[in-house]
Amino acid sequence: MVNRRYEGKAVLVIGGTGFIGGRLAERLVLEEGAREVRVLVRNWSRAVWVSRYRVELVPGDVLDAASLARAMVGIDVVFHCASAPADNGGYTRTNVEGTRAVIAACLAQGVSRLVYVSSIAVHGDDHEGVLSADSPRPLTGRDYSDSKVLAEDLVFEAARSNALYCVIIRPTYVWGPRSSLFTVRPLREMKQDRFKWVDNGRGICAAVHVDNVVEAILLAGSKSGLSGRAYLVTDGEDLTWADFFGNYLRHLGVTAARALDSRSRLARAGCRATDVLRTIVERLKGNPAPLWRKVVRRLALELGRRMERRYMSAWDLHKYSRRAPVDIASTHRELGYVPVVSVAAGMRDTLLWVQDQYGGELGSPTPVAGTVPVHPAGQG
Amino acid sequence: MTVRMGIVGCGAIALNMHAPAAVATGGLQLSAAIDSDLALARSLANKFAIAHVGCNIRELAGMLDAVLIATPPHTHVALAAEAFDAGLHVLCEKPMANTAAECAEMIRLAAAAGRILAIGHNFRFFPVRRQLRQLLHQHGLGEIESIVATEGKPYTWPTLTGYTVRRELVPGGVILNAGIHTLDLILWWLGDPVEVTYEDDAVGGLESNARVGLRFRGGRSASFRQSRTCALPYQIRVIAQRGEILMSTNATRDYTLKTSGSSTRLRVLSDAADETDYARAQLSDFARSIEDAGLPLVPGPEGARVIRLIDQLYAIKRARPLPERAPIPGLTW
Repeated sequence: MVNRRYEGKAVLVIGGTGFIGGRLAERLVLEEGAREVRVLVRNWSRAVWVSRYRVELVPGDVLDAASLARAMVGIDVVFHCASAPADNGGYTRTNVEGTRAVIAACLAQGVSRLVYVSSIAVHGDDHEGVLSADSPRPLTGRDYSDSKVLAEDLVFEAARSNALYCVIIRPTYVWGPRSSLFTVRPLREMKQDRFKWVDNGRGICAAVHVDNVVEAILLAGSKSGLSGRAYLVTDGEDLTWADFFGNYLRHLGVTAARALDSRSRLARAGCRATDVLRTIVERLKGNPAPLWRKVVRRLALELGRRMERRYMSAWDLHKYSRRAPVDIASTHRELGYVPVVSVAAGMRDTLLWVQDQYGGELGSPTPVAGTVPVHPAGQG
Repeated sequence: MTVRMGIVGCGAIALNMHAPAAVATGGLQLSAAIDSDLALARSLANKFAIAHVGCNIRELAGMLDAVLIATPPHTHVALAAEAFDAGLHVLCEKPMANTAAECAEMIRLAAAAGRILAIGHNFRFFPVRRQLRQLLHQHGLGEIESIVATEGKPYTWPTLTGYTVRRELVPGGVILNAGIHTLDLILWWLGDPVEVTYEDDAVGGLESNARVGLRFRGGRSASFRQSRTCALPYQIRVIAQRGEILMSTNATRDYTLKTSGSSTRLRVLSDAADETDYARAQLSDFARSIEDAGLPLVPGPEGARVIRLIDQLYAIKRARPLPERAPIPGLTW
């Protein structure tokens, strides 16, 4: 056991079958000495990662109050890392109503602490200066970021009323083993020659390795006197996206030629149009639907695919073009956060994981002998 | 004679595989749907026009000749005991049970009751697998030297009980639940191993990635890698003295013949068309064995054999100390 910050504690991880919550559960049970680690499971087949550990899997759903109450009996700390899956009623329902239900259950069951995992998305996508946890949290009309803002509001309210000790962790762009958005997806885009450099990769990379996010969450759940505070968390290294993604390109042995210039009006308009098409596709989902809806959705889907070959979402464009850093001074000072994984070490492990789990598709043409497992798909 | 059969356990495998096959199998009548959750039993009965519904075997035993046990493996020994006690024949889904000791108990109970015990290793009914020896002979490939198999995809099976990921219900993960098919096949073709190596990614829980190495008498070997978190080729390579036969894990008839410098795709002759037919073939085989009082294709001791191997693998797992830090997910080494 490496740390004993949770010795004797019973904890519940909501979202523990997912990427961040899963890693959190692993560390809690193996490294932190927790007496009991419970994981709420909505879909059994998603539990194949976390079930490798000695955790208690309890069936339930953030939208089912009775299941939350059952899962929280005798629990000291609740980590709420669940986010909306596509099949569960959308972002607002899961993120806002789900968080409301989690807070209510914590209060009813006498849980002493709640750590809520939010997102940098609450700060919107037109913030140009240095971003800190005190920066504004505007409602932008985007489902995901708005749902996170509203969920945070509920958590802040619970903290203000002194009814529940709550801390919010806002990860930036989370990468590492099991990261879809910042590991598997960009690798796949690079492999399929769909990856686009924004401003030649000169934007500031404020990404964060999953183990560093987990470290911040563990600190938030174990330190005192921080209720009602929110903390941004990054790897804290001075990198550009070119530095970061360069690791992926070298792993694959490919180069990326496509480019977008964030200052170009055309590029910005193209990205906004891509967003509009995505929204149409999302909003017109559902069956049965009248024929016109199916036709419009199909057209938007097709056009959207074409647009995405050249553009990306406006949010992504903003993310990859930002030149101002993310300030995590308060995360260091108040939370005592120090990254546990450097980008270099995290990258080495992440690429080992990629080689093992995606070797057939995203494997390196020249794996390092002795350290990288040979993937069976690579043999044929 | 028509064998009147009840399905015990009305979850995903009953709904998706056994019930559709049973209603289409001659010599067999699907007479009862049995589940401790009566609503599930009713739902299956409504869907397949099954006459009787119940929540245990005993209450319906009088109108049945046999049961198909399609519940999670930790319940198999008790349910088989109940069925044999009531004089019924049993076709039991794989894994036969959680441990070799439980398998031995089931075999003993079947023998004491004088009833058939068949195990649902339905992949053995694939023509390409049944005819492997003939294929090796026909193509002049000689004896098998080794088997190399891989199999993996992110897990999506719609399990109702979640038993495949719950360590309080099962002793293992992907190997016991899914790898058992390929391991059974390897034992069927090569016999019992003399040496076993095993690695997996479990850290006090159930494995989702694993690697098995087996050595057999005469220097033959097999290796198998399996995952329920990532995609791996569904592929079995049977390497013989003068070439190899390559088949997809899911292929019922198709295979590729590889000899020096040439690769040919071929198909074995068979009447059956799709996988449901192999579920039917299994049920027909079961009904026939009841009628003739003969052995089914996969009798109890054959189902027990692969569980004995898996017991050995899990003993290796249990002997391994837990690491101090949570390792990189998925890596088995």
